[in-house]
Amino acid sequence: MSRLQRCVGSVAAVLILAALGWGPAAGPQAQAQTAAQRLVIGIGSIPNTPDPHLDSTANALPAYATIFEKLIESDGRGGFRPVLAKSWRLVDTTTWEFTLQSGVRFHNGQSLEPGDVKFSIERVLNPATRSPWLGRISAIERVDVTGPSTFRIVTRGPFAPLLQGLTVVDILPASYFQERGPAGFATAPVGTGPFTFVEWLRQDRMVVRANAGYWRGRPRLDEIVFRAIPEDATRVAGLETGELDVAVLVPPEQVERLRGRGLQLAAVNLGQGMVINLRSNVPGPIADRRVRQALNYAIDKEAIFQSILRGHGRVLNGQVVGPDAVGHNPVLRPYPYDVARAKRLLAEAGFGGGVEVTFHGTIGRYTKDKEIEELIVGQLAEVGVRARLEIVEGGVYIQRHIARQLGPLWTWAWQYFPAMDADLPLNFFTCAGVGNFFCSRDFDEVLQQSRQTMDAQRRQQLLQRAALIVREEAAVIFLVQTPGIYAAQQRVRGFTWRPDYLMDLHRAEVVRR
Amino acid sequence: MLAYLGRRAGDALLAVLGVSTIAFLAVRVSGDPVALLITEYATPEDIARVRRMLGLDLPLWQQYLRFLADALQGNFGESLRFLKPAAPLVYGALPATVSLAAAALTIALLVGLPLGVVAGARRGSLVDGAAVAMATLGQSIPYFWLGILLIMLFAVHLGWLPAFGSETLRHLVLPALTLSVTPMARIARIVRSGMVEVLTHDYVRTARAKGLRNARVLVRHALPNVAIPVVTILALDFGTLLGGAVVTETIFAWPGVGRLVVQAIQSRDYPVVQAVVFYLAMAFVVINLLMDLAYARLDPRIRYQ
Repeated sequence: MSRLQRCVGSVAAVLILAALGWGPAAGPQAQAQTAAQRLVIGIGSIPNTPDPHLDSTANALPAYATIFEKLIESDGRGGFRPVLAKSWRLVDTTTWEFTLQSGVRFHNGQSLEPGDVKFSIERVLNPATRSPWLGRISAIERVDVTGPSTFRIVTRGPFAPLLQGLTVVDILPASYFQERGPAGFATAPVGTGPFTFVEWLRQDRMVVRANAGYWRGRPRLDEIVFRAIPEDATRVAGLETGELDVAVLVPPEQVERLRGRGLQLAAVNLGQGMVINLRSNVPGPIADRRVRQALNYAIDKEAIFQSILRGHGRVLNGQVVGPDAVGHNPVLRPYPYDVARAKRLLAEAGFGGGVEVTFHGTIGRYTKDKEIEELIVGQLAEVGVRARLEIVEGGVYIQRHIARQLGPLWTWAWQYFPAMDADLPLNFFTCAGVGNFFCSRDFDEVLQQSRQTMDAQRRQQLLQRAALIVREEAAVIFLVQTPGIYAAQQRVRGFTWRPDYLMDLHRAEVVRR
Repeated sequence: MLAYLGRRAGDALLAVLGVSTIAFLAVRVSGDPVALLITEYATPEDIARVRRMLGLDLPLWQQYLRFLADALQGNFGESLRFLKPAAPLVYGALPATVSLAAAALTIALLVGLPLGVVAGARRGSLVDGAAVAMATLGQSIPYFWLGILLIMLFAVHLGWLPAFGSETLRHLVLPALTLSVTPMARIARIVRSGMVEVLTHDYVRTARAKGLRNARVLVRHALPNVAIPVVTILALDFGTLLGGAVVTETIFAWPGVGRLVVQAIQSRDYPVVQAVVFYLAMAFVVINLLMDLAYARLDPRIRYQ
């Protein structure tokens, strides 16, 4: 054999051995398990860790919710419904009393007790935990256990948005967690949810199995596999090959084709209001309310909804949340598409000769963002507003938002899931909000009042008034509530994706014929 | 030989240090890692607290010294996203990428080498024209487009192979094929032009005059002399391959280093970015060193002083 042949031979041998032997390990359970009632869900990513207090990314929420539960959750109609908390009441303006459901057990057999709630809330509150949810409940001063099934949450001063904060805190078993430590818990996490943890492979999959002793009844599915598939086209292909039972965030343009291939398609309006933020608290044309209103009149929201989103999602009613949120104002309507009025307002503001603005946009951060941005640039040009579109890389977008380095126009989606409460986004419209871009003393006063008003109805009215100010001041260009389009095989029944980004999996099943 | 190795190891260390420094600076210049740790709903106090915790409130030179001291011990800090030490995250994802890259290189060699030999030996023929066209196409096809195309064809329409995932050997085929096309085209082109040149040499004419069969002339006498540029290309292509792995792994949901680093960059998870850059620079340097040593085996005229 020549030197070359030997050399090529050995290189090839090494390469083949490497390819064969070093393949990433597939989970043994995942391969062995071919349960009859097994649902495989394709989603952009899975949780970064099985510990639910450490990851707040949207795609992590539905996977966590199979294993863990919260005290309460959004009812999708502007209110909250009980989960682990059976009931709650206000004792005084800073004290809430909760009563736990009876007969709830963790997957390891321990009963749910108020001490577990105290532990879980305190763990999120502890800065050393590094929980991204800390900011949502930082108004909590302490949790007092008051009885075998009751506890009190005490806040620093009156804090009306407490309930929305509680929709993100998963309840973990205190003694089990303390026995195992954070690292041990992350390898064998235990909750009260309808499914128990089986395995988690980073960037790959998370598998859960039915919890036969679930307090609301055993789920119909035996097993759920969440597969992390970042690329939209691959998720859709996985559905077509039958490797996936469900795929979420299907691009709108794929809907008709997939329906034609016999798949079920549905869309949910996610708790996320897509707008163009307007920086009005610095000198310039955008500081003039008439200009901001003109921008709103200049955009044809229906065109975005019909031609780009193909009828999915919902045009925002002149506010950043939809009717599924606490604080939605049912009286408000979208700014109509009125080019003549937009031009008139611009002329009144002294910009009849046109105006030039920078417009920061994104690609792939939000559904169809690039197409929407391009349409907006075109429609603004029709009223004499020349918007220079600059695309900013996703990693620096939030940072530049916080540092007030975007705009005066920039694409943004105000997320209000899973809490579904308008307080969450509106808090950023205050003069002192992080990355603030808008300042109205009236608005600040109303919002501040709403945060301290413990009467739910009165609070709702105040939030609605705050929304009215945001619309009249045209603080942003209101666009659409973004759609979450999902597709499933015909055999899948009872699966729904909710506005709060969670999935109803408890009653889902796979029907084999 | 030992002196040569020592000198090369010194160069290698310098290269790794240089690349790590650039990575250190790049992640800090391009964006604030704190933005990742906080949601858009964080308060300024949250931000300041996180900054202190990560030592990002220190002057840059102090951060750099700290980084170097830790890196020397294989410690790149904790991933901001996974809250786990960064280095083991990289080792964990490495096997998936190595197997993908190895499979891709194997395909590239198995197809590219014979294709180049035949095209070079039959210069100007139909086979040659086809090979050149394929090589040009192969080098210009974007991984992204090819990957989706292969999924549509082999997974969706023909149903032969899975569309995504990494469980079995069958899952390896489409991503490896996608990743192999660029190096395959490069190898075919280099081998072809090498063959065209070598076949004009006297020793080839002598071999033919001896009455050797054409195949033997090509494989025994001509091909070994084309080996050096091929080995060089393989070593240099390692970088291209990693670039391709980033895209390919994302398309095929392959849990490797490419996907790890692209998500780390997007989310400013700087400990992971630094660890990946460090290990990849090491691998690149080591592979190039090995290739240098392979030259001596391939060509007896090369001696290292």
